[in-house]
Amino acid sequence: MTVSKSSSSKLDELISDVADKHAEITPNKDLWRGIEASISRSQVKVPIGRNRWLGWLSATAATVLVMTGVMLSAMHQNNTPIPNHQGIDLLTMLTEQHQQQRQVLLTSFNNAGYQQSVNELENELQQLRDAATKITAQLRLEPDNAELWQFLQWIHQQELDLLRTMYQQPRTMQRA
Amino acid sequence: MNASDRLKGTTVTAQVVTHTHFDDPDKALVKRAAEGDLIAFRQLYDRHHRRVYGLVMRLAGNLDTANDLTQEVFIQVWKYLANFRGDSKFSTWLHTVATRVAISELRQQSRRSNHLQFVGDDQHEIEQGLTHEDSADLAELDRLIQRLPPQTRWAFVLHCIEGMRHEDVASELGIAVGTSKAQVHRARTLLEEWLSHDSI
Repeated sequence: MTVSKSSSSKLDELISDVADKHAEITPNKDLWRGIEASISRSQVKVPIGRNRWLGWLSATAATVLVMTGVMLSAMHQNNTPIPNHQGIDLLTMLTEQHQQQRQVLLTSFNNAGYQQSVNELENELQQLRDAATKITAQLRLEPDNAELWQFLQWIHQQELDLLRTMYQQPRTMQRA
Repeated sequence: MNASDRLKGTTVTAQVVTHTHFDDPDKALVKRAAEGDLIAFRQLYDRHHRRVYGLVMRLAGNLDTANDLTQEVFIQVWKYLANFRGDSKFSTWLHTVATRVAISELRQQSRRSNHLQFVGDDQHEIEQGLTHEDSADLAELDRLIQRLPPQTRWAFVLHCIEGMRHEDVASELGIAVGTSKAQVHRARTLLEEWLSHDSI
């Protein structure tokens, strides 16, 4: 293959021209609308102090598990089960609602192409789920216990927050 | 042209500017956008989207993909703007984000569509690159770049047009430094050949 010297020079000129004068190109359509729609749809919140947040979540999950064990142990000793069908229905509904929220969250991450990136938090996630299972079981026995209801809702919220944290912070963002 | 290339006198490369002390003109907007101000973010988009589009269009070699990539870059920037520490100019950070988002997505596309390119398969490359009707609006070099095989194109664009060192190109593409140099050499050879044919 023979390439003339003039082709080489011309290529150098074209490179200089593009790099110096035509680095910017105007898109052939309005791209902002799609960006704005995506931002609005996902209601993205900008994470602040992510590392502190991870540490806090990790400590919280462990604390929750211990607290759950202590609370439920005390309740087993002091309380007699009170049947309450309305409370059990509400518990079923709350559990299903949480599962739906979790599924919607996971689906949205999958659709956006995100992958779970913080595997070390799997243990914390499992601890939260274990705590939720224990509290749910106890609520079936004590459906009138308001503290347990609040505790369950709080743990559900922690699980959703933890899932959001666990999904990929792309490599693209790790170095500034 | 960077210093080493000027000495060799063989390759034109855009100048790399490093900032030790700088006033970032985007600083105030970045701060507001990081706090959730979408209007400020829109202003950042207005300032920088054409530069991002130029980069990802050349990496993608395809205008439709460039549209998608540009949107994805700014969506990711919005999500992770709080992670930007201000150690560099926002425009520099944005450039890095854009490069990584583009390369990551293009790699996935390449795997999905199994568009493997082989040395010597120039005819296929040319046919693939000339299918977009909007390519007529592009500069001559941009039209030619579209013909290059993906990894060859990425190395050429990042080194020769964006001014990145081969070490940095290799790091971004996950290849050896020697491979980056070889890809740029191959790109230049193909482009010079095509320029030679076009001038006949």
